[in-house]
Amino acid sequence: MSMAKNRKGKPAQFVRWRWLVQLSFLVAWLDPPAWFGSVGLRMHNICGPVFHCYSCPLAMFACPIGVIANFSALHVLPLAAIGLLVVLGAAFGSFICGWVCPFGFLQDLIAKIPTPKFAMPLWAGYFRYVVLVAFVLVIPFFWGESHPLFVCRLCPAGALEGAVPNMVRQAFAHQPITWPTGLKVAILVMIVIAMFFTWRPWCTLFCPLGAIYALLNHVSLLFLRFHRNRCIDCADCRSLCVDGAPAERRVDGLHCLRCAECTRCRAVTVETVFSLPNDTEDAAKVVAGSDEARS
Amino acid sequence: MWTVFRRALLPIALVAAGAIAIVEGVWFHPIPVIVEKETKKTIDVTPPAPPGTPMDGPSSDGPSASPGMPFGRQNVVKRTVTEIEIEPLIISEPAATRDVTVGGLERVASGEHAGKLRRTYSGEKGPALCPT
Repeated sequence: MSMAKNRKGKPAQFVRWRWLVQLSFLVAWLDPPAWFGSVGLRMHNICGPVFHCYSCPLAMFACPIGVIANFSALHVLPLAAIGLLVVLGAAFGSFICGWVCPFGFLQDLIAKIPTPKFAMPLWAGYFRYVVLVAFVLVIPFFWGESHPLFVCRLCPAGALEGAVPNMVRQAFAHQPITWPTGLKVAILVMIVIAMFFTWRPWCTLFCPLGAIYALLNHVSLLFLRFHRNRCIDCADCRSLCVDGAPAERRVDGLHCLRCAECTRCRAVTVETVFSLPNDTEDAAKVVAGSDEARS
Repeated sequence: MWTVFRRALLPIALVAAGAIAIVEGVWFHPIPVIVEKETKKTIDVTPPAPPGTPMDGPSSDGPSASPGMPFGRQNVVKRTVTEIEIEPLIISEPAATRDVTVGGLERVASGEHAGKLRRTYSGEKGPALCPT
């Protein structure tokens, strides 16, 4: 136990700066030229790789989920959007979720507020795929963009980043205010409340974009490796994993958001597919996809 | 080395496939849409002659005159009508991406152009916000 505490006492260097990386990307997503009175870049003809609503007054790029859903309604294949997600997912997997996404960053910040935290069951994470298939692909394809269950009409990121700032802007400009639907507001309120009591509720339970990246976790160029021979079964990884899962069951699985907090323990490392396995170690295979119930 | 190569093969192949999809989408994926353009035209409208009105004009042909002929040039009325012209257009996928972010594209559900994509705005500038 004391060895584990010593190991835990020396955090992995790069993980300490995760907040800075997230903040830097947040600045990039918020169209910095627009902060100084200019029109801004607003390159909405290009998809960004993160969950950021294009109705946000400062959105630099288009939301990939919104684009995929709208193109599904139009019965057109969005090659550029899908290609972008495949490139970045195959390169980094869910590192995009853990290090780059602004909506995830917001949830991380709120999670720092000292409120009681509850862990969600692992199986609940499969609901992301229900959201992806039903609300992003099937409903738009068969019923169009005007259906009340079209993903953008439910999305809390759209409500928070798009609807709220635009309502404020309309109010200050004495224009008629465009209210979001009651369902959208209700979902936003529930997700924001959940952010205080569980870590990343949107990411772990509902995010369709994270669902796509998680599928590519098993084949990405960059991944997390659990070294079984370095593990002393101290279970400290439960406290390191922000979702409370032990490293050997969770690292790099379908539900892992690759925040890399578990790399504070030397039993978990970030590696690339080009790194050679150490023959003297028992280079255990990354336990991927074996999301059994936690003991 | 062979192990590394095998491990790296699939992710590298996926990255390459994604890059090809991006190039294909940006430069080689034309999307046909239709744009409705309203044009205003001024036309001359002559109201039909009421029954019993005598025919006017120097060339009075008497009984051979058709009853539907205009009964006077002074009764011609100018009317402004709006005609809708359907113009086909080919846009790129990035342009379509920009259009969907503001609700600028929709699929025609029924009618003569059912199944085609229709731009919901005409002119250079579209709506400012997504309708959702």
